[in-house]
Amino acid sequence: MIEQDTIFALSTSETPGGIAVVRISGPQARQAMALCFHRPKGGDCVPRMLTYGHVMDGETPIDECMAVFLPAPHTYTREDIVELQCHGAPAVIEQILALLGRLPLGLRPAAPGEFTRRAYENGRIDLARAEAVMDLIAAQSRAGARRSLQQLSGSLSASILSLHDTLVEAIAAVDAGIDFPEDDWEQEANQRGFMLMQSVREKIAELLGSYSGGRLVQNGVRCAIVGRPNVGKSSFLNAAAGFERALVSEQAGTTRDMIELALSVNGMAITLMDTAGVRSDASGLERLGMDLNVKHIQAADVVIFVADGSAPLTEDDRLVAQSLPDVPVVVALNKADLGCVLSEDDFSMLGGTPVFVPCCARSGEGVSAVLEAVLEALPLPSDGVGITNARHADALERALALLDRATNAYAAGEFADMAAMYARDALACLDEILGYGVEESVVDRIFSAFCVGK
Amino acid sequence: MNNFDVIVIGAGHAGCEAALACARTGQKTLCFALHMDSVAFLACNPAVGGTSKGHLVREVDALGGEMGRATDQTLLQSHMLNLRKGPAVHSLRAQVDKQAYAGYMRRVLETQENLTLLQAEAAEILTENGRVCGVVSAYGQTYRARAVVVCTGVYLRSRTITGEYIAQTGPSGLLNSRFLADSLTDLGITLRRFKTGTPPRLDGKTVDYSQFEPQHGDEKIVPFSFMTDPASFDGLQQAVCYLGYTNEATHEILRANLDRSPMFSGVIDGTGARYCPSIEDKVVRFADKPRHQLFIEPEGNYTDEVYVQGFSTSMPFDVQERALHTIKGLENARIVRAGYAIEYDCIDGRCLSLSLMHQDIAGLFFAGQIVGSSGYEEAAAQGLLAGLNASLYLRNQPPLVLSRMQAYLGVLVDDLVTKGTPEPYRMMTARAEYRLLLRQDNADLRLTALAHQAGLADDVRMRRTEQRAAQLEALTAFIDSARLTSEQAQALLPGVENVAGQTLARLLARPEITLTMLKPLAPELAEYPSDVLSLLETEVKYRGYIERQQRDVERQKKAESRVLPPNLDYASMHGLRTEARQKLAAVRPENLGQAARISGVSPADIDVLSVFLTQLERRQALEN
Ligand SMILES: Nc1nc2c(ncn2[C@@H]2O[C@H](COP(=O)(O)OP(=O)(O)OP(=O)(O)O)[C@@H](O)[C@H]2O)c(=O)[nH]1
Ligand SMILES: [Mg+2]
Repeated sequence: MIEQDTIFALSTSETPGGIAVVRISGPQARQAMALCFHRPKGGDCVPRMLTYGHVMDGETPIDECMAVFLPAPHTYTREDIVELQCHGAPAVIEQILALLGRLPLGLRPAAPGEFTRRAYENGRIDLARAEAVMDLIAAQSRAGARRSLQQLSGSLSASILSLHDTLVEAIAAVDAGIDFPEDDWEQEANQRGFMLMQSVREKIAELLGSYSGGRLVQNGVRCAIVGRPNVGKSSFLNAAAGFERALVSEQAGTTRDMIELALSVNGMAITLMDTAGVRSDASGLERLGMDLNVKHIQAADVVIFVADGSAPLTEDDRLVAQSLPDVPVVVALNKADLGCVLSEDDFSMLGGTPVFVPCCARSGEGVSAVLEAVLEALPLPSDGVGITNARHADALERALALLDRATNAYAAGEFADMAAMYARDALACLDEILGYGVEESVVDRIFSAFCVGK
Repeated sequence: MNNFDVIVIGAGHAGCEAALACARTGQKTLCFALHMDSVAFLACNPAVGGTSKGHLVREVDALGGEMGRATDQTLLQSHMLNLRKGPAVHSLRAQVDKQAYAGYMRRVLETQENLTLLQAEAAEILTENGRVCGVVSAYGQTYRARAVVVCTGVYLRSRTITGEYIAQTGPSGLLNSRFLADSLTDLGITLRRFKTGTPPRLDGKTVDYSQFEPQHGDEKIVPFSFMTDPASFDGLQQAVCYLGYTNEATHEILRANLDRSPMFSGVIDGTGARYCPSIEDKVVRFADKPRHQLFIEPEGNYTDEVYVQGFSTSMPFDVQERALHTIKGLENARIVRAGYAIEYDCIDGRCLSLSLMHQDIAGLFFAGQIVGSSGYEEAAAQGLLAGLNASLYLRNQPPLVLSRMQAYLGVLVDDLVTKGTPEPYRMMTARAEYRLLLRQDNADLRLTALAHQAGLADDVRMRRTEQRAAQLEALTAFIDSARLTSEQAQALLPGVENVAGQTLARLLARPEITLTMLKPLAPELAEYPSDVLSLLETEVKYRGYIERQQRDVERQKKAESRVLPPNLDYASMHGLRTEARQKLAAVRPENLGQAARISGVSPADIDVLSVFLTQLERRQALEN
């Protein structure tokens, strides 16, 4: 076999909906599966057996999926192959691809046509088809170039290009100081390189800050409605829907399965998720409903914490408060028609800076105010330059870490040569986002920016 | 009488190393010099080495070349540059005595077995069925040889220009080469025109040094050659260089006379190098700089002449003089030789293979400035490689090709041959992607075995390298296992937790710890020579990164090991983009790694090539 490294890619076409297959091929495929695919019962998968489980990023589940391990050599590429069959939502796929790239196994995204190329080079496809393989690579690389352009919005690609440019300038300044140590601008160049690296570092951090927001704009907001039984969560959902979407009753524990409702609020897509009320003494079916809830609540981008404003807080309210995920929280003080005995002080256990909005789910009053508060609580990008793609975010994160090392090496005083190396690696991360074809020309930059010569 | 194995045309820095490499590997060698008094002539600055160039000299030495020893033998001042910037970019630079340097080198050539020197202009290169078979001198004599190394430097149809004065000469009024250019054209080789320049030389007696800042050499001299004993420099009185500055008045004179500058008036049409601008260039391009730096450097012990580094110019004589007189300390300076620009013919390196042999004419090698480089060191390094490969060619052995991962020389040749250069090419550390591996302190460990195998580096040198490698290995094993007592560790790093029990290697990896600090604590270290100790320190400090670069290297090596046949028909290959087809056909890369570095060839194109190669390899396997 010629290749040693392990590659991965989405191997079904990129249409949203349906089932998507992410394929991993190479010697580390099995290890990758062990790291990111968890069966409910634990343990390894049986080769060639389709198995149910979850794709996990550490402790966080990304998606429910089926997976299969196909050992070499009787596979398409003649290497070990793992296939993950997951839900086709673009956001989920992006997260899975980013996760694979981040595993400490050195996996990399497959180049255009690479699975087929490996199949061919490992003797799986016969000699006569070489030309077809060559054409396939060419076609896929053209399509890939178009796609990567589409994924980068105009303003985003412009800002990453400008970061790329500044980083080249930074490296050129450091290297100019190294290659022309006796010129009188050497110190200045050195400092300038350092300064530019830091400024790129800051801008990358800023862009990364926009990631969650940008993703929300792209994929919509998932908002969980939580609270103890009977506070009016389902009533709230219905009021927001304008029709009876969920069952409402005075009986605590009415809602068992999660109910979703897609809405548009001020142009933003929001999916409200009505959940089973949380209480400590639940049992049987109700308990099961609550357990399922936890998963959905953990995946929410924002939470509406519904409380009955007309009654003092209960132990169950506190239980809810403790189990909230680390996302923005809006507290809806419901049943305002019955008067309000709760104040912000009662919620000091929440931490952070939750927003409080009184409402009456029964009449619908205040419901839209709650939804607007939800939008405001989210880090939505103001100017539209936002990272929306998980792989881009991942590349930027690596660039950030490398620039930290670069500036640290610099600060240690002696290692300009190392600093430039780290910065070059960071540059390669930006190249990944921009796609191929951006020529770095450190040497040209040295000549144009500095007066070198004998 | 006139039958040789190999003929080297030119006896500059490339020619000398080429001729020595051939003769030392047993080839009967004839070396043409335009003038015997200008063998190994340092036509520009009286210094050898510098950033990345110092690395090249080290590599030449490690490969069994002469430049390092010649420099050590004729040293005036030595300085290790970039000591504050990390060991990978430490670079040695030496001021040398020009006449002594040339004299030393000429003596080495004269005493070299198998080597004949001849003062004559080479006029024609003879070929037969696409192979080189000899050289005709301008006297009309024919010399037979199966290999020729062309090292004409800046002499090919050169002319020098000082203001309105133009002379059909080589550097410093020396004879140029008039006939060979036509012969190359007749062989189908396209010539182009490059340009470089040099500053005026002054009479040192007329310089007021009190107005300059003296620049002294290093107290402890590190030799260039791995074979030179550092103790041999004991007691050497090093020469002093002087730092000064131009000022607004200088710039004013230059600006006022730009219409008389051949560069701006269009008299010069050769392509100059951006890194070596003339002073008038600097004044125009960096108009807001109030002053430019100058170094006054001695030309040698034999003369009062001094070199004005930073003041390269082709302005008219009177403008040079007036501009110099505005400089503090040069008010009364007298010019001995005026600065000038020089234009010359060179080839496009992309017609060569990585062995420096022409792709279509077997046995014809090129090295040095004719390939588009600049600098003594770049020339010498190529000369050595071309000479050695000519010798290997004559011995029917595969050429020595150095990769970008092995040597600066590999980067240099690959850049010239694969990418080509639009201007005279200067080596720079910024061009070496594996510079943490390609250090000046390990050139012998990287290269000597290769040269020894090819018959160039002798046994003494090989044993010395093996000894250093063994010492390094023993030392590494020692510091990877030795630990300090907890009291020692606390004393070394007061207040830092968890240092007790760490190996010396772990401690040394910390930026604040140096080997000097560890020496009193581990007496065993004193058993090793200082060059090995500092080699170790570098490897430990860079360990993580060196290992990472080595992994990159492994990946790259795989691509380099996939050989592309020379006569591939790229034009009809499926899946390649049009631009890639054209570029590949022009460069004719030798392997997949090299192909990937051609600008205009995309990763997808490389994958296409890879599939094609697999098909080819399998067909061949089937046939065998
Ligand atoms: N007075 C008043 N009653 C309300 C209001 N909102 C909901 N209710 C009543 O509270 C009771 C519970 O409402 P639900 O919406 O089913 O409550 P829930 O939180 O979904 O309950 P579970 O699904 O059991 O967890 C019903 O009788 C509602 O009519 C309100 O704003 N004012
Ligand atoms: Mg309900």
